[in-house]
Amino acid sequence: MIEAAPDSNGSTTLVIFGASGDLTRRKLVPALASLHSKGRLPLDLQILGVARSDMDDEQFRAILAEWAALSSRIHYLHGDVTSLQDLEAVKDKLASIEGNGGSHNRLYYLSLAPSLYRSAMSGLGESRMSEDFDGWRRLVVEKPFGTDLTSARELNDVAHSVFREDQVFRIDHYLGKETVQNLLVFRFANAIFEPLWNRNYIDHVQITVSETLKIDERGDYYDQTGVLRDMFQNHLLQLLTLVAMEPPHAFEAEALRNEKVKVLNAIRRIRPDDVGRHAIPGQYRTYRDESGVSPESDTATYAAVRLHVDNWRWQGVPFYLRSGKALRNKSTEIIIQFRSPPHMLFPLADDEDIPANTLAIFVQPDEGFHLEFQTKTPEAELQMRTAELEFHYHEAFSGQAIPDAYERLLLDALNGDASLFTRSDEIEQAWSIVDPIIEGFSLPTAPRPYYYSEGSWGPVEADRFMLTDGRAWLQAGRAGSAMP
Amino acid sequence: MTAVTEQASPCTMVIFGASGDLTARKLIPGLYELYRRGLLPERFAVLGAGRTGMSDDRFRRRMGEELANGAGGQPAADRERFLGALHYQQLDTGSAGEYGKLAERLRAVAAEAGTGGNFLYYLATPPSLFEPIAGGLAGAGLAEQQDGAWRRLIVEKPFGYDLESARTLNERLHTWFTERQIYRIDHYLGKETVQNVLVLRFANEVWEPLWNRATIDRVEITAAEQVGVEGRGGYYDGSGALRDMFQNHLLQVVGMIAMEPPAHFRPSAVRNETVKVFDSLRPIAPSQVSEDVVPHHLFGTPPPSVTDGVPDPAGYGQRAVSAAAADASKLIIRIQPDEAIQLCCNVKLPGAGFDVRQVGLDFRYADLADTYLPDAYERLLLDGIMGDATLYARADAIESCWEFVTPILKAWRDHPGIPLHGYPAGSWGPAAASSLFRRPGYGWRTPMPSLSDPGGTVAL
Repeated sequence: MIEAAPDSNGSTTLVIFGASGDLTRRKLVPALASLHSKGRLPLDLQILGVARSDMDDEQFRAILAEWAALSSRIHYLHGDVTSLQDLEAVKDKLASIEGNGGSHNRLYYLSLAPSLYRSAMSGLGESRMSEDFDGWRRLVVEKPFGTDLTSARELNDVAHSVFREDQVFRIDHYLGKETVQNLLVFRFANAIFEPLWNRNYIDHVQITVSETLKIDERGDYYDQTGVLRDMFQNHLLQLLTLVAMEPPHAFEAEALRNEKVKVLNAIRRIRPDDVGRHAIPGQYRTYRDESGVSPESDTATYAAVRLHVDNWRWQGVPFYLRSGKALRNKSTEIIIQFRSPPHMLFPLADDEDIPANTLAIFVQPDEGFHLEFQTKTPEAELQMRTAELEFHYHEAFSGQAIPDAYERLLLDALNGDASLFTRSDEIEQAWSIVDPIIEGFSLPTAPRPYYYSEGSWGPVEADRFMLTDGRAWLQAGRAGSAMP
Repeated sequence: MTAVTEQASPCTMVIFGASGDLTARKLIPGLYELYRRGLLPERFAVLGAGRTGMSDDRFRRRMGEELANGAGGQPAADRERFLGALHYQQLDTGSAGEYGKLAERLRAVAAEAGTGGNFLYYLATPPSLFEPIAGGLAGAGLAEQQDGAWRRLIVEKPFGYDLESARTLNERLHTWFTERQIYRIDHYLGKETVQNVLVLRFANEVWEPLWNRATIDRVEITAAEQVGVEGRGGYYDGSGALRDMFQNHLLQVVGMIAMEPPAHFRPSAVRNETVKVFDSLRPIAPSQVSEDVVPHHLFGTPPPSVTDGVPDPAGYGQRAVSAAAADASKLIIRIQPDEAIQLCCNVKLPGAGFDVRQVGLDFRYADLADTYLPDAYERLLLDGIMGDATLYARADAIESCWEFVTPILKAWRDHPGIPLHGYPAGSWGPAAASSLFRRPGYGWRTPMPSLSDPGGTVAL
């Protein structure tokens, strides 16, 4: 990982467009403050917030008073990123912040409504703010990046007309999570898992991102978006690529992202007219009553999707992805279910199946790993039971808070390390996988979303979907497989 | 190992050396636990036999005291019923003429208890009495199996003190008992955690593919004792550890770790596979003994440190892709104390970069709710009663282990020039022991009292 020495002669400025919004206050500034307390911020870092709220430096600092240590570095400009005139004002303000001498590095952070991305990027191009003539220029873009393949491509085209790809940092904040990064370490820094990490030993993989929240006030946005755009196109597919990828030749951004793109390429596309065999849409019962949601809305707040990776490593191993709102738990888990031992030496009761081993990765909450295996029950006779080899971050690294994803991501962006950001081809591949499913769900022949009760695990059709495959949804952390 | 569904057939157990320590500390308490769990046959009796004179009553009272001192809380009535099944016969076990008396008493006890003709003979005596007792039983017609009744002979260790003596003992015993009747104890095989090696390996998909030279760099097996030699100096001279621990316990554990999967779980299949391991051990030539085996002897007073018996297969990992060098993964099977299984592998250190650190994925027996870890003897006694010899050593296994160990003993005896390394009590043994690894920086892993403590490595 590159760690650039602070440029003592010049400056580094983080320009947050849309700084009066939630993200700055809830995530970005706290992350910067934490980095600062650990001595990891470039010494010369300045922060310039730009937004349409009418405020000045002092008022903006007052909003962020909780992070007093950063106060002196915080500046504000009332301006509209879509206005070239305002961008000129931004440049002037930057000049005064940056001072003279040395190189002036800038990280532009688009904390804006996605509809503004295009004009923001074009604007930065037109005002020549993207040119790295006296220091580097980088652009961080939040999700969603496009709403389908076509719009994503257009957005990439705009971005590439203004920036080089190596200047563009698309955030999927899941990649900033410790446990997600740890997946790579777990796989590639230990000799014991790789020999098992393929179709010969793995029966299937389940990836679950479940939320308890409903959509709250975001009806307008969510009704246009739905769970497949909101969660599958980004987080779930990212998790899948990390599980499925080949080892990169080196631990650096391009090598890593090349391998991820290879996985995405290999995923078998679902035909829209066939979607019912591979995916189950769901909607929580009171969804249509939410404000901003159309009373006849068919937007899916839940989906279960089965994907196949057509390559030598994974042929025949299904990847089951599911995510939804208003479910029973808030958790993100990856469960790798191994095949059963080929020959059972030990006595089983008549109706017992040979229990298979599972490796569960808890991305959140309670970050850690469990390896479920069979052990002898301490008893005079021979009986087996399931036991778990457990590791939890909070126990092992107690006293050390797990850094928020944004800490990691901001630092990497400041250092120019794109490993944990999504590349343009990754984004487009992911859309090309999800688009046909969304399209399929909207066809008149497709199943309408199945209802499920709030606080349940989703529609019963999703359970049947698994059962037809001879499998069941697993909830990690409980001995043995249990249909939740 | 016995499956739950079988029912134990009625029998009477004769314990030779019943006035000794083993009976009071292990055998009777073991039987009592089996009784409490309903695993003893419906009709069962014990006849203790020994040189010390004692009445049935006195024997019962003595055993009763032992039980009362042990795991507390049992209702006294329960104990009384169990103790009622115990009997005692004074016997000069070394004298062949005495066995007629034994036969008479035995039949009387069996008749009263309704156990029929099944007899389980347990030799809890010094090894010098093994032959006289076996011969005496045969002489009194008590060895032969007839009319559907079984007779089994459980022999404690040590079984011989070198290859020749072990062979001789086997030959002698075979004149009176068939091999199928002979059960040689290695109580390590009765330990939960040791049996669990078999379950761990063969009831799971994830370990077997790794269980070979492609993934495993080396296996370390450590049985460290805190207790000094104390009163047993005569038994424990320079070659004491080799005979006491190596020839039996450690090699048996090697057998379990290294064996091929048996086709099924019957004693013959399992023991065939472990014998194959012993037969495959590369013999250490006399000239190599000084390099390949490091004898050491303890000097000084016993330390306040911890008892530990830990077999430890270590896995060797490839170099990580990340910046920091990664330690090899390890699978640690802790037999005692703090019985557990731990998988040590590399995880990312929280924070910036991709630095790795080794942590343990733990499973502790202590974490299982209401876990009772049976004493090894409980297990072995039950298997003896059920006639399951899986966890007992077979004649060829014993001889194969002695075949491996004896040349080492011989070399030490014949070449006094081979250094005997001293080590202070409370240390991890002599530094020279690390020379066995023949790789710089490699050394013995030091097991810690608690598995959470990763300990260190004793390297040269």
